[in-house]
Amino acid sequence: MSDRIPDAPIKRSIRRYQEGNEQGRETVITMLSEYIYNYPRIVFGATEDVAGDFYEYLLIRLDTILKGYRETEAKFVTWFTVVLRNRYLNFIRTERSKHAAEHLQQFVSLDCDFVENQNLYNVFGDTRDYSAENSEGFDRLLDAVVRNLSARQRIFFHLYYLETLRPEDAGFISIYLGRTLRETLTGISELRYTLSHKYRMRNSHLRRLNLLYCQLLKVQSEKDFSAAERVKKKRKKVLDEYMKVKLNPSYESISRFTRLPMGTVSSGIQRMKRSIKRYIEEHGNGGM
Amino acid sequence: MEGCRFNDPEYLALYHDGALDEKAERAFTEHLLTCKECAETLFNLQRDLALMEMLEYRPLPAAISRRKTVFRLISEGIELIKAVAGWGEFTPFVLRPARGGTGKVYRCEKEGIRIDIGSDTPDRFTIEISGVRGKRLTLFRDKRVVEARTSIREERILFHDLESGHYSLSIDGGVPVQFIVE
Repeated sequence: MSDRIPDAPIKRSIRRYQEGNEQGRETVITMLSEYIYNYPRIVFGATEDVAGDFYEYLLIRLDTILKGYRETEAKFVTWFTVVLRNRYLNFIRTERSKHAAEHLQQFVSLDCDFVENQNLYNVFGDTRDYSAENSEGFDRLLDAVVRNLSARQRIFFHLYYLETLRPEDAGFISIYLGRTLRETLTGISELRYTLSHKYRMRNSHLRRLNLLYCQLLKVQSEKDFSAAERVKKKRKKVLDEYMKVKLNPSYESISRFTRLPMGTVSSGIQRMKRSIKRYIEEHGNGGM
Repeated sequence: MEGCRFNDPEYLALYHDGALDEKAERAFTEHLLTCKECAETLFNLQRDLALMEMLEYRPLPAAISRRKTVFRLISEGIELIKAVAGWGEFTPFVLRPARGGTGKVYRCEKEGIRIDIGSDTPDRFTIEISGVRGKRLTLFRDKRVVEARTSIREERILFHDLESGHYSLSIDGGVPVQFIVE
């Protein structure tokens, strides 16, 4: 899938490394470094500091990881990405327990605007913190929304609001469309690729938001309140731009995926949106 | 994650890339309908791979781009602050008195090449490299060439009176040994 880690050369280098060739190890590290460093940044929206810490954390364990690798028909990057996620989750759990007090402080100092403005569009990367309360809240919200939709509307909801998709929703889509989960996931992946320019745009806004947040912390610590106000205004502007980027696949791509006519998709999505609007009017927005 | 025999990176990667045989693939497809953990891992994998392919990478900051050994110059000589594994791994080594000097160096050794780092003066240090006859050698400090030699005639080469900085030593174009002396 990814040319960023070409499969044949990395497997060759790992083979050399496993045979005890030290140069093979260096080549492997060179080939994997950017992938490792950028993984938490891209997938979990981690800051550069965290990405750097994770990079060092992983490098120490890389020998053990690579010794456990067995070459198969699957691409190395596929295997490595599963491993990377597991290692990253271990890393953040360890870090969290080590610095429980610091994290709490950081959470308190987070600016309210950003948190309050979280909505369905605002879910970028894997922002879950893997605590039970967090995922329960997210699940409850989505369950409440989809419960009031017909099966077909639910399909449109999941595909149109792609970033809210959960594994169980992918399972539902598989069953409804009569496909295997892998076929469904491949289709979802293709839908995501149609949004790549929007992902990039949001990523760039997110980066600017992070920088502004750091600036804000700095001027607040210097008690420069007028500068803090200016940074807040700037950040509000970037946040608005960020939220304007909607990660909704086009009707055409949904039609291709579901193999339904465009008209059916278009009217189905409109009906789905009306149902949600009605639900919200009846029950309040429930945090949406 | 625990308890499910299928929830294994190798197996999931094989399934994701369509590399399982037909029977195993069918079994896993059925399994995915009932195992939330495996479905979630697969779902996350597909999503992670898509994001990692679509979004721009940022280069590694220079400070962490490579693990480097870190030494510090102290009044008694030089001390190792941070070690790395593999080529570039320095370990303390006590020299026999006949060799003179402070007696203690940090040594890195591989395939007949030996690098000793030591210090006789408070703010300077020396590098002695053995086993370099006929080889090419380049020593950089802070990305500038300190010394570049081709076809070295001596068995041993000595750089002395070196000051602190980021060093990189390349022998015969191989993987460089990099270290920082603070």
